[in-house]
Amino acid sequence: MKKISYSIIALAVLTLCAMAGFTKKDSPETQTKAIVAAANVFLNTLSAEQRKAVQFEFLRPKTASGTQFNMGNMKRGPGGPPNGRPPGNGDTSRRPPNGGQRPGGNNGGSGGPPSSGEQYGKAIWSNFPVNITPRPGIEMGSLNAKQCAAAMQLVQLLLSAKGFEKVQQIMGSDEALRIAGTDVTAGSDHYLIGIFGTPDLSKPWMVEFGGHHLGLNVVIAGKEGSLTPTLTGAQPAVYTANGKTIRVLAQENDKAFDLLNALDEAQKKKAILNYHIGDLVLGPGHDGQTIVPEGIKGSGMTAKQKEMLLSLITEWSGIINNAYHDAHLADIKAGLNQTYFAWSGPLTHAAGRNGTAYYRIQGPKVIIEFAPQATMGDTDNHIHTIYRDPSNEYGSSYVTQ
Amino acid sequence: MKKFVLVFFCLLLSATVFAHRLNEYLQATTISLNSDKVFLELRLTPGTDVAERIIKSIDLNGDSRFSDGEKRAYLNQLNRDVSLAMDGHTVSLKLVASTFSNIENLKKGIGDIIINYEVNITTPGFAHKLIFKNQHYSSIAVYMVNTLLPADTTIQVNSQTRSNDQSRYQLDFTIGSQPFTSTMVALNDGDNWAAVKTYFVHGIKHILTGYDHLLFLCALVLGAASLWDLIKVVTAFTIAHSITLTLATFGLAHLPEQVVEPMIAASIVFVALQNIRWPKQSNGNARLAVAFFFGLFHGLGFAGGLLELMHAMPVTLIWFAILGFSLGVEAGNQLVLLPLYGLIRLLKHKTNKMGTTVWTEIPRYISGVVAIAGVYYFFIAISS
Repeated sequence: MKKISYSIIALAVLTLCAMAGFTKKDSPETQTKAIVAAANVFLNTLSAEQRKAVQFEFLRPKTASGTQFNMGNMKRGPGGPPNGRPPGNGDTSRRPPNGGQRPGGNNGGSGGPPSSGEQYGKAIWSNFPVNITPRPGIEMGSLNAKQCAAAMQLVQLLLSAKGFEKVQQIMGSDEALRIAGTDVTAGSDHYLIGIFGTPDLSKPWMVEFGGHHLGLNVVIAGKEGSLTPTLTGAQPAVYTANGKTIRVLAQENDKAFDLLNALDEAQKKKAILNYHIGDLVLGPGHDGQTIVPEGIKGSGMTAKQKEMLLSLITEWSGIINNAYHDAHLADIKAGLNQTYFAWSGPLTHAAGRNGTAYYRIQGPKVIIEFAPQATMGDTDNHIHTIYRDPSNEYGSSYVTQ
Repeated sequence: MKKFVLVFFCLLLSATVFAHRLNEYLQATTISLNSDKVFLELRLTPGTDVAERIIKSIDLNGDSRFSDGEKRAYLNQLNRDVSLAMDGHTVSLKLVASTFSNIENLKKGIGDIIINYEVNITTPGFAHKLIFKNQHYSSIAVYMVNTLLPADTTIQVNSQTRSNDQSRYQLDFTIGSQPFTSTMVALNDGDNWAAVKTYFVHGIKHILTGYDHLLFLCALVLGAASLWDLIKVVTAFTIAHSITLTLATFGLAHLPEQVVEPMIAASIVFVALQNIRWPKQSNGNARLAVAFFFGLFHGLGFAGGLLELMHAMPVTLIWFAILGFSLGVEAGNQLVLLPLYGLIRLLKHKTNKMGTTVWTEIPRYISGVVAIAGVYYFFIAISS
């Protein structure tokens, strides 16, 4: 009898230990520790020259701008030189002291370099292929097997399992584009990784991973981590690999249609915009901008519909590792009543395909746009999406300690 | 067959060739506002298939570079294709800055032409309407227009309206330090005339849903000897209620509701009894005086409803609101009076034809019913 009691107690202790261990594994501090270790492992696999190509100073300007590649021979037109920044909403906390402020605290309109990509300090991301908008960092294709595995291990630790799968599908889509034949640089070899700042357990540093249709900007700062801005996209959105058909960004499409269909007629009237939106409004080069929101407000939705909206948002917010996601998700949830959902375009989609409608989610802590691209009349096979957090772009809320 | 295979192969290639914006000219306009200026940024991005056409229209001498003169010519063309109207007046867009990407980037589809304009807000008042139109390369354009959330919290965007292709964009906004939320909902259309329209509707509604006013008007019609007589009486009523409505709205006249409401009910009873007891005095100057006197109290009654709607409204707009409301009340009056008068004339005509004197009695009976209803309202007004 005693033996049984001891066994039960031992089992209980073991269970508690396992639970504690599990919790510890998922805690942000532990995750950061693992990520820093993985970053150092990756860096240690590189030659001195490669490290130089991967590591950059983590400059933290108040706001990002359009890319400045190939701009050497750009000339200013009549009317005076612009200040090289996109127009903003006048949030002075995110702007340089003389960053083109207009009277009334509004930055107003100001010309900038082309918006094919967004540049934040030395980091650059874009929806364009890397030969058109070059990124800093080192290409996967240039690494040996050990280096590549170390790099992907780092990316995997930064992301959730679902997020990592999404990234793999986007890279797979670009691989499919390469195999089909294209005159641009495509394929999974042409995704780059860059590390900005020194991997640290408390001070903010950033990993940028991306290429064609992918721009992840993960800032780690102790127990906190952010993913914004992030661009996802795909072309082709549906492809076959290893005999399996993959529809990239399928949940982003399907959950949005589910939410739309869950709205009643009066709610749909508010949500559906009566005009066509042909592209991302707040894509690369639009950091620091918040447009006047449109569509149906979260406060006008039922609890079930709000749950669906939150679930849709997690398709982007949940790309980052769960250890960092929980805090951000709680913030998004708290602002759900002030979060808008707007729709433009067809109300149905073909089975097994993504739709051709644009939608936008805009709240205090989240901006998401899903924008199918019209390419040679093929409107449901090419998507661009953007995910921003107006309050924490590039981990701006994380103070350097 | 060979030809077919070749065409198919070319199609396959073209579908996988660089697959971003191709045969369209993306034109994204971003508007930002402050208390005295509107800023516009036009970001023009030609797709790769149309880039040559756009480049040719700028690089007029074909030397593969954009001279200042060529840029200026293009900007002039753009200036003719876009327009901005503020509060109903077309305003000239002041060019602040422009940036042209180099030709290589434009050809690749990653080049932009960025134009910055600004416009002073010179029209007074707190409600403004901006209309932006863009017809630049309309056959290949993809237009987008958006307004940034103003950093200045005293600026409120009330509505945005776009044509389907976003070539026409209307923005209604207000600039003011007071958050008069109840008025803003009513003032979706923005400007002063929108206030007239909005309060015109409120005026009509107020009359058509106010049975006390309707009963009073009924009693006036029953006593009118002719259409001209009726017009004079109603005009006296309108002038009187407009006077007290205006005075009360500006806080220059006030009577407690406990006095105003019973007086309105009493006016119904008085006019109805006058029709029954002193039919000869129910038209002419005596009736004009009665309509004017009681009109003063009805005006105070209208003001009660109007003041609720106009909470914290700026003075300039109050005049437009009063105008709209008074016109609405007048229109509401006519909506009831004219058909009623027509009906009475018809009945009179019919009974005259029949050679009976029944008609002379009918207005007295109806007036009796109206008087009873007035007494009922009187007691309700007193008890509440």
